[in-house]
Amino acid sequence: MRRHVLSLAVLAAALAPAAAGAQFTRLDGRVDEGTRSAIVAIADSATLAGLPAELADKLVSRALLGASRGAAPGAIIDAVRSLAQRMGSAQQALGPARPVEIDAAAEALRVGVQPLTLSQLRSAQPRGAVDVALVVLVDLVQRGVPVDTASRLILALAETRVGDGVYHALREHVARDIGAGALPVVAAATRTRGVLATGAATTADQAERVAAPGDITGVSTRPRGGPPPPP
Amino acid sequence: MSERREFDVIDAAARTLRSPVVVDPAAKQRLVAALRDSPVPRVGAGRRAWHWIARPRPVMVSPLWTAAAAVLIMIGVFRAAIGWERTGEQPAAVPPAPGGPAVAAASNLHAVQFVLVAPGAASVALVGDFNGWDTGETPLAPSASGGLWSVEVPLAPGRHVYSFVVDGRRWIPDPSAARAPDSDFGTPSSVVLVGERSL
Amino acid sequence: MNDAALVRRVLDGDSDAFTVLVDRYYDRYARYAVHMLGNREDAEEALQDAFLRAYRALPRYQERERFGAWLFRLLVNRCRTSAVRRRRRESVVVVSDDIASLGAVTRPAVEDAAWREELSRALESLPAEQREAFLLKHVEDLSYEEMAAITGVGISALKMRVKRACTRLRELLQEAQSVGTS
Repeated sequence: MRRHVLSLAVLAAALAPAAAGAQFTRLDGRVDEGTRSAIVAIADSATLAGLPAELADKLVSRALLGASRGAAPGAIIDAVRSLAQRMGSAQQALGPARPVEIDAAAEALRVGVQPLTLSQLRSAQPRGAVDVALVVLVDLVQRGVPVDTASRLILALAETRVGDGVYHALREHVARDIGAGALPVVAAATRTRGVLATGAATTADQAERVAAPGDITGVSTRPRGGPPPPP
Repeated sequence: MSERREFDVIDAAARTLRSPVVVDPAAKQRLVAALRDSPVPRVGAGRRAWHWIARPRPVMVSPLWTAAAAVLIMIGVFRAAIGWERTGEQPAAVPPAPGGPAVAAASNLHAVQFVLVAPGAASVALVGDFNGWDTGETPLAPSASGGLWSVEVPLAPGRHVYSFVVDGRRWIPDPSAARAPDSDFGTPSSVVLVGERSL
Repeated sequence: MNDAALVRRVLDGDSDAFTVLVDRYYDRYARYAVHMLGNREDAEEALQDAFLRAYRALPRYQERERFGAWLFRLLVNRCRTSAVRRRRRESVVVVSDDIASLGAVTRPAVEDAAWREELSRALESLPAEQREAFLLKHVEDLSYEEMAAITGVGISALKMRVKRACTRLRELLQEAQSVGTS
């Protein structure tokens, strides 16, 4: 009898982490065999290349989204492969990072944020997490703020070590301003200037750099890959 | 250089072994025939199976397995203890953010409330990477007066992408949450960060 | 129809619904059984036992675990009980690698009958627990957490087994390759 109690305890203890690692079984019955094999192969290659194993779950989720939308197998595989590649680039640009940061950074690359911006963001917050800043950066771009401008504004905030709540408030305000008819780039720059001017800014020139009107209009037309803002 | 070659051999081995293998079709047919001969599983059959499993009999357990079992049990107990401790430390609820889903923490999972105002909708579902984007998995319930749809979902810490599906076909992002990039499938979606850094 | 719905149909008395699950998983899991046990006869026997055991135990199956994962656990355990790998080894016949080539992987240049024979021989020479760990990790693409859930072995022990298996396979396969090319 004692042996049975032991077996049950072993089984219970062994099953405890099962939910966290059961990512590939989520594909069962949702994609065909060939697609499943391809997704597993891509995830495996990504993990072998050094991506945290947790991110394989994100690759599986992307495949499931494609399946849910009725995408063709080839399109699903392409989407998963390019997501895996972006995750690899994001990890390289960020250096040591938590999975949630790599996930958020991969999506930032998707909207055109430069790898250099990711590295600068990490340098600005060497010990703090950058996931919230990246989610807000992507949101700004999605709402119409030019990617270079949005990147510079978020970097300026990161350099002043503002808290997550500041990013959140910025996103809220910019969304509301745009909804009320403001130009996205003007809303984002004005609201960031407000944050920097009302206490978060450590020096006047940081606020000035973000606020300069020439900077705002200039950035929106500047080609990508230009030099970073002066330190 | 030799590291690279070593890796390639294992990689090549794995690829070869991943290819499908030929099985005798007759073997599968034998299995199906055996299944037909078996009683249809019902609760009664389950009880019989349970008795079969629970019947005491000698079992050989090597010291190695016993040690592995002991380690697993210790890990399980440790995990449980950590979980309880964390639950005790955490506040019952994190104040909801002014926009996007409201998040409340309990143990390692956080209850996240998703709300959509959709007065004319006949149904609203939540889809996201946490439920495999399955439109039938997480329906929202309408308020008594209609128009406001909501659901609470326990989510693990991390970044989650989601959408609402209105009337089974129209995918829309959460108007009050941060937006996610296009997913390559033309799906507008939103982001919620769950954890101590909720957004 | 998804697995959970099929299971419910079986439990409602529609035993034919189980054959859909057999079709869905038999070939996929045959790969593991064949590589683990080294020959088709033993693999087919293990598959038959695992499926029958799953069928009979279906009333106790919990939907929170995927049916495929549950079934696979039964199969892995069944393969373990064939503790002594029989000697009637045969080389495993590979149908094609079209499916594998869909993904990010490319065809291994060395894939031919001799290579498969060497691979099969090298795999057979591994201790069973190392072979099991290697196949689960590198062929079935499971995470260490999944492997721990299936085998009941700790993650660090599993990592050690995979590492030792890889080291041994490298020695054997590179030796075979150098002999073959010299």
